[in-house]
Amino acid sequence: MKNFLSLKKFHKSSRKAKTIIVKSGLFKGMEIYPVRRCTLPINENSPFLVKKMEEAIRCLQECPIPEEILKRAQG
Amino acid sequence: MEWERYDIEEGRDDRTFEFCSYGPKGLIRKVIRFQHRPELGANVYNLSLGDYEEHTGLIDDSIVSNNGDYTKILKSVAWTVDKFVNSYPRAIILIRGSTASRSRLYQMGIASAWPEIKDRYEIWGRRANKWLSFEKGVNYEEFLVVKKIS
Repeated sequence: MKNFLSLKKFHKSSRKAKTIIVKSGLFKGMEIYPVRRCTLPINENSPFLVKKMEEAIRCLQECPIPEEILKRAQG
Repeated sequence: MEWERYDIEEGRDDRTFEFCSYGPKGLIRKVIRFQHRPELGANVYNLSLGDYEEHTGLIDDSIVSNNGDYTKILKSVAWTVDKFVNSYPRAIILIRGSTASRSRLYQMGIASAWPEIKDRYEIWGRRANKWLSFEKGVNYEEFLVVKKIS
C-alpha cells in the first residue's frame, strides 16, 4: 500500500523521487509520495546566521580582502 | 568529474536555497544562505550552509550528518553559487567550513570542479593570513569566489 502524504517537511527534491521510505520519526518505515514543498522562514537574526556572520566578519578582519579583488568586483 | 546534485528550491528571496539530503540517515533538510552585512564590505556575501532542525525550527551546522552524500551536497552548493552570481554578478562570496575538515571538503569540491569553473570564476584561498590565487594541491582555510567579468 502506497501512501500519498502532503508533508510540509518534504522538499521538491524528494517530491520528485517516485517514493521515499521514511527513515525516522512518526512515519518511519512508510513508503510515501511526498508532494509538497515548504519554504523555510529565514530569520537573519537567528542564532545560526548571527554566528556565521560574526565568524565571517572576524575572518575578514584578520585577513582583509585585497583591494585588487574588491576593485575587480566593483568593475 | 561529473557529480550529481540535488534538486534545489529557491527560498523566499534570491539569497536563500533549500534542498534535501537523502541517504542512510534519512532526509535532512539543508539550507544555504548568502548573508550580507555592510561590515563585510560592499558586494561581499558569506555563504552559510546548515541543517534545518525540524523539532526546534532552527538551522544548525554543528551536526555531522554522515549521510554519505557529501559530493552531491558540494555540487548542490556549487549550483547555488552559480545561481546567486547570476543575480549578483559583482558578488564576492566568502566560503568557509565550520571546521577545518569541512573547509577541506569545500577545497576538494573546488579542486574537482576546477577545469570547468576556472574560466568563469576567480577563486582565492586564505593561507597563512594571505589571500592567494587558488591552486590545486594547496590547502587553504577559506575561499573567496568572484565571477569573471567578460
